[in-house]
Amino acid sequence: MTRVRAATEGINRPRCAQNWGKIAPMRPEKQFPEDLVRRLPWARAALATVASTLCFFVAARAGAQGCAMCYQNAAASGATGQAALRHGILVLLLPAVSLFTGVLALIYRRREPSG
Amino acid sequence: MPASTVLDSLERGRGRGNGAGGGFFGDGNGSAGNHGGAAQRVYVTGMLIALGAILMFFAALASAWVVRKGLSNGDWRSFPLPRILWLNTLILIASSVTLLHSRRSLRARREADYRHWWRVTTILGALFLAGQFLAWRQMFAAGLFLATNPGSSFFYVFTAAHGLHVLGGIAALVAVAFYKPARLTRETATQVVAMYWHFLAAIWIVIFALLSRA
Repeated sequence: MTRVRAATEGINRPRCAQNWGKIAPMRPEKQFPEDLVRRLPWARAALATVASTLCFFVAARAGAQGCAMCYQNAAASGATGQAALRHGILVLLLPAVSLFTGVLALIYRRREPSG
Repeated sequence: MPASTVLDSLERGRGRGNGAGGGFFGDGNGSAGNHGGAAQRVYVTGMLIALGAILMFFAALASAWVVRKGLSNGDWRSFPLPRILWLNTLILIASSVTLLHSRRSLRARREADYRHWWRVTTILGALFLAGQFLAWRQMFAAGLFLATNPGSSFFYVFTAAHGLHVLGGIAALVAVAFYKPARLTRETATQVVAMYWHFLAAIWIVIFALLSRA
């Protein structure tokens, strides 16, 4: 008994007398982000949004994708032309990103339950 | 209970549980029944993929319009749009509303109403196309042809591309009106065609807003 007590010294024991000496099952420590996500359903989405927004700040300039002729053309088109190119890219990007996000959302919603 | 009866009941249960309502965008009434939910879902998923492709096609045209307008060296001429386009827009929106009525009638098992509103939608679609043709006539009368300037070229390309899609939609409306349900149930057929039609109405509103800005 003394040996058991010594072995379990410092471990969270049940207070009940009949269980004296038995080691209580350890509750798994909840990690901070997982706990947050479990308690706040939208925390995961918010974290993903913040992370993807931060990516924009560290993105390098594409520089017309490395094509010298495209770069020269874009640079020579003036401020109005450059704005038009930017808007054109956005118009093309928006539906593509929407489709991508929509398909991902559908896959996530319709996923098979694990196990 | 005999084995065949058990199997039948299982099959019936599967049919109900996986009906059209069980799909990604099912209509919620599980109407597929014994036709097999997975099979019905395939049509809806296929239409969604087609809509994605059409969306990207019009997005590419819109992007080209934005860039061409911005990069024009004074060759872009603005012109007033034919007034009839406003009426055409209203007609297309009305056709979307009548299609909603038709689907609602089908769900409520009001066969006559369903057929009536479906027919009205088809007629409104045909009216829209006739209106687009009149708009083209007005453009010709104003001396604006396909090669007159980039703005008029885009006008014709946009309206022609959209008109062809509407023509396909009208063909689908007529086909469903005379359709005898087989592998594809009538509920799924109407759902798929309605998705396409509403999408075309939404695309037209965006195109019209874009052309009006020119």
